[in-house]
Amino acid sequence: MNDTRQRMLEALLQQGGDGCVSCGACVAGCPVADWNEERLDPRRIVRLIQYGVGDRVAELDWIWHCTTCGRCGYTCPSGIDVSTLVQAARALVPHDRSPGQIQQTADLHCTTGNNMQLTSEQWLETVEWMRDELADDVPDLEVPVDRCGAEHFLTINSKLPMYYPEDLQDIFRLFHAAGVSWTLSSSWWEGTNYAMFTGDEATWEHTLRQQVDRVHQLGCRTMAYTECGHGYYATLTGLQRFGIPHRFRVVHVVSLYAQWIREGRLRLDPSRNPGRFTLHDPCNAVRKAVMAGIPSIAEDARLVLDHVCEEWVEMTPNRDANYCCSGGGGALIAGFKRARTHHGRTKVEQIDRTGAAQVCSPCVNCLDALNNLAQDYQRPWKPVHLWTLLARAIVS
Amino acid sequence: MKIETEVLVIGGGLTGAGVLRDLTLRGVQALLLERRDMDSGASGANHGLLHSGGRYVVHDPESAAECIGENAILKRVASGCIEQTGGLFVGLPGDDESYAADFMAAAARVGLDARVVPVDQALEQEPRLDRAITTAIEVPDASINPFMATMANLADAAQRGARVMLNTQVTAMRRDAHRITTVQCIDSRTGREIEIEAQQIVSAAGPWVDRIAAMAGIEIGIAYSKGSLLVTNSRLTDRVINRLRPPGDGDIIVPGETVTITGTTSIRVRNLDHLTTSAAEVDLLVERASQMLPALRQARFIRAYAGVRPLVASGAGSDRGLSRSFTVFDHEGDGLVNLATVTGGKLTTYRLMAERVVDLICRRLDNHTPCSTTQVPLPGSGEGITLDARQRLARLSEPPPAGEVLCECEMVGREQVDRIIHSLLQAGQRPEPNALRLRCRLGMGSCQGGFCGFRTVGHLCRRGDLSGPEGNEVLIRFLEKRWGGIRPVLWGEQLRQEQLLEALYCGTLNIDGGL
Amino acid sequence: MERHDVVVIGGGLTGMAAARRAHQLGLRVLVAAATPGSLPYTSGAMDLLGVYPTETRHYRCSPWEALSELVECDPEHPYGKVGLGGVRSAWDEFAAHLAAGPLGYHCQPADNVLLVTSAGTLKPTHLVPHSMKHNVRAWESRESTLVLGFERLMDFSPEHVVQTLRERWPGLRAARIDATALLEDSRRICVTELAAAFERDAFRQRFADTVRPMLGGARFLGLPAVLGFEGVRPVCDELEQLLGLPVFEIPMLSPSLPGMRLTEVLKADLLRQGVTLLQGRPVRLEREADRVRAVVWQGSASERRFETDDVILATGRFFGRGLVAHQGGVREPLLDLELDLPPSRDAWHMQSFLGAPGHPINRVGLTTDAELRPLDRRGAPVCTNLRAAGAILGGHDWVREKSGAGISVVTGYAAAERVAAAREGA
Repeated sequence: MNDTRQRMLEALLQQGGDGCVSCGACVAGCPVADWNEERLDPRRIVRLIQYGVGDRVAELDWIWHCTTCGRCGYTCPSGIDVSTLVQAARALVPHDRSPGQIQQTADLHCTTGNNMQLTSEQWLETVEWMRDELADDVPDLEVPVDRCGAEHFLTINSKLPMYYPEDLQDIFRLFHAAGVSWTLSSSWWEGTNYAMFTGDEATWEHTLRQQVDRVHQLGCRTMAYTECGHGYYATLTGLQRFGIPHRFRVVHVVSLYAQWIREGRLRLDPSRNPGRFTLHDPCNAVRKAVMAGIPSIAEDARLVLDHVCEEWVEMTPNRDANYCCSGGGGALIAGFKRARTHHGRTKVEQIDRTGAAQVCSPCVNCLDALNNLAQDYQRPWKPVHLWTLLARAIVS
Repeated sequence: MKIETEVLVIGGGLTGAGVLRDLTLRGVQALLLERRDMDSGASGANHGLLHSGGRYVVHDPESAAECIGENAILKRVASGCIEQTGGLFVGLPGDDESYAADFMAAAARVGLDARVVPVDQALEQEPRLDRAITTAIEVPDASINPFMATMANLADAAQRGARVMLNTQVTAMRRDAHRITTVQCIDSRTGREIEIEAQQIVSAAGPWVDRIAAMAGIEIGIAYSKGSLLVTNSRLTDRVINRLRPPGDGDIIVPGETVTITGTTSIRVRNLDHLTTSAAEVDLLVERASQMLPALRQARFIRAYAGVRPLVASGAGSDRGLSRSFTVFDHEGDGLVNLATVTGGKLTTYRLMAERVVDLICRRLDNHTPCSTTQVPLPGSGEGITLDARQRLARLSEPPPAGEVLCECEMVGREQVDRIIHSLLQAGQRPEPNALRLRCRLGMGSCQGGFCGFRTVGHLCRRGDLSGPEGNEVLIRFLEKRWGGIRPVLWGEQLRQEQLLEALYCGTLNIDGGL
Repeated sequence: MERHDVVVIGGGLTGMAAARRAHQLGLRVLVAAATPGSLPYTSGAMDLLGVYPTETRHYRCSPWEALSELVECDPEHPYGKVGLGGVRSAWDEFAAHLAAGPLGYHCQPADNVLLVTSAGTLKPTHLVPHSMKHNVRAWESRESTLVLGFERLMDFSPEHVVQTLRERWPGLRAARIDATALLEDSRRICVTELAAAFERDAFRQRFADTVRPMLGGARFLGLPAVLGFEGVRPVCDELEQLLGLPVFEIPMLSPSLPGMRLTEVLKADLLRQGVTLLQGRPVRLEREADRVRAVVWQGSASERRFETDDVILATGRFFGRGLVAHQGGVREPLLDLELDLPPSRDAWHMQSFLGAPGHPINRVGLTTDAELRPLDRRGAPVCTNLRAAGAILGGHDWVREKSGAGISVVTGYAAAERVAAAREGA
């Protein structure tokens, strides 16, 4: 039997795919179902594999439209997670044939330590620059870099120094106000892992190990994972998957924020964030985290929101039933822009229904995706990071 | 109503259809009667195996030779109904090793293209085979879709002027000393009585040939041998897999487009209607087949079905000992000059069976046109055309328009179904889910028509093909009919499927409530 | 490691009812569900008891009368174990809760009502969401009613509905509209897309404008159950205003939005109350002697261990894998119990799919003591601190009795109450 077909069938049967009862629950919840020429949805993917055409699945564009949000697996009464099958199929696609910029980004991460190919100097220059910008406002602000023995090793998504350096200011302000021991790193500071999206396990493992070593070198006891979904997920599941020994725990920064609030470390004035907010639960940090058995940030994010703004409403559905931002699984840079925009319609409507002016989005990729949707659908609501809301609400 | 024709063919299975077509190709006017829908006998309840002949080389070389010849012919003229899967005979530890040697020798003798392949190679080709297999022999087995083959034969014959009357049952025959003068039949749906006068009559009614013959006052000894088969949810092998040992139960595994079919048994029965498959039979089949393919122990089976083989009785001995070759009765010894019966045989040899009996009939009609079914391809077959499930599914880029799928399991769209409904209506047939099921794959997938049955009835109501409370009657009939095949395999995942469907039909719809 | 008073295994109606009651009684609750279970597939209507006895398929107008009989004749039935008083108090409480919630459930407290389904059959039930209130009334009144479907929505055929009922309801009429023209962009015509559309003002306006001329004196408008997600109630009300007649939903097979809505509402209630809800992965039990020490969530990457004082098993039957049937028998997988059932698989199901009284295998389930603790072969509780509730219990056939929701809620409550009482006594 053709090797790819065989592997896909094995992956399917491992997922309990023989148990598909054709109910269509996966299709009902999948924003990527049946729009493009391929006319596919999670149920049909299962069929293709069952019927001995699994090799064709690896050739489809659809597996790159899929944002691997995992909602199919979450709603399936037979426990079949089609996003896992999509991952299996992606892994069978030669890396140089994966679409868009996903593999290239993963390769850059591997060779330079971050997605944006920033040198250590460039990175630290930006850090210093942003710290200087804050000097007037927060005169005693310290931004530790490479501090051995600091409690928290903070990862940062390289989009920040590259495109949104002001966000660094919010983060610095916040960590300073919390009065915790923390540090940035001059190397292996990236808070993403795009190799997971192409099924490139070798690169996923390599970059993760490099970062783990760096944390060990600095002797930090906590890896504070920046506001990101997939990076957090890739790190925690990667440590398990690759059996990487580590002498620290990994905590999502949102959980740290919540902890700081509970400990009374932050004085916050919610009136600093007026208007109605809503909360977007990032798939990888909530639904997929729950299903992976790693901590979800859902309740912590809510606790924080309760303290940083006066009015916020839930989207429906929410938490682990939330819909994907449309940019997950590498979809942001897979190159299928038109499709991605169309697939975001469910998300747009979900946000519309809340009547919120701002969408709290504690994940860099989600935020980018929601920004794209706001633009493409001409919506007035604005996505915003939780660190921004916190930074605004901090009372000195 | 009275109809006159040159030849009357009784039996709408593949053999009858083949006879009809052969007749029309020789310029004979012909009419076919089938008491139910096409392929409602063994032609609709078999393995779907186009034999290479390997199964018979050792003990039944006559059958083997027939298969070898027909296998090659059908791959040419019925190519669109056949997936050229290839086949393997595999031996397991404990199997009679001398059989393998006998096999190759016998293969050489009858001209079967069989090759021993290294076990490693077989395991690579078919990774689900038990790793412990000791021998593997490659043969040109293939998978044939009998419904497509019957439809193609009937369509071709109809194009040449033949008439096909489904749901029409022969009730009596009137004869004089030498001839059957009239054949009485009844349209089981309208109740209309029809009288047919034919110069020649061919009975191709499978195991019912003895009943037909009895109407003409003739006795034919037929033994009914029931064979049960199981269908899996997924396609687990690329090739046909056979057990390399004397033919027994549960020793064939055949890929059937999107599924795997495994069987079979051989149990004498007395009642041809209401065939059932017992839990014991199912368990036996699973046990035997999983010796070759261990994955079958955990597999989900979606259906069990049974067909009856007509065996022309020739005395004592087990059914497996009876020759699988076919028999043509000319009935001249019984004093009749215008009846012929063709029975026995197998799916693979249908064309040859048809040729032989039509040769006889044409001799009687003084028609000397030679048989051309070895050359003229069936519609939908020919050079470069094969039945390849993968090709069909790969054409997903031309699927039905969004939202117009009737059967999600097999991805059958409304347009295709409408075309079939149209042809059914033209042939005076009522469009019902089961008739549709035979003509495309609607209802043959995981849910076995549970969801698409409902959608289809809704669609038929919409079209006006069903009226009044008929809709639910048709739906319930369909659900009950499919139930017979599902009931024997209800454990594991298929039980979950049925539990969901029962909950929806009885819970949400209360269709059992009669309210 | 996190400690709870009770872990409910199973997140369907039973699990959520048990969690609700346990929380009311002051317990710290965690719900762990491997799958969404069967609640999302239900019609959205809540059945208490519609048929008794199942042998005769006797439809009962009064579920309470039927219940009195049942409780007396069949003490081993889940309703029998809970007792009439327990059934009443649980059901009344839950009904009141649903009535007060966003889906606005209605019930005539005494009697069952009949709902028109997408097959044109009538379904007896007890509690009906607001969106189906007029479904009941339309049938009762037999007034002129238009049943409207959508082109290309193959899951709902208004013609099927009308043809089935026409003889008894001459004023019933079928029609279809083409939703493609009403949607802004190219979308599938399917249940979820239509629901999203109905939640949009502009779509509702266009829909009403298209349908108004088709009403022709109808007093009711029936539609497939696609009238929005959580906003279904305002959608129905607004359509009624726009069109000038009551609008109702008709239950469909799958996907069933009313079932999905109820699931979301009940989940949201629990989350608001601080109950932890995990969904998507199986669990296993950590047992020590005759007690359960912890419930372990089997995440795909890591396990999470939840220590608990008590467990309520609400895992349902085969569909949710609360029970597993292998070729030779039926097993409860968490306690690893083989259940008693007819020795031959031929006897598990009847020859007919829909025939009375129903399939023997549907009555197979856990036998329990008065505490609702599953018993082993010797008749002793398998675990002193594990109770079972819902369809996993033996001795009923909810599908034929039309008692699914009732058994879930009532036994869920009963299990929670027994947990709380035992803690008090301890």
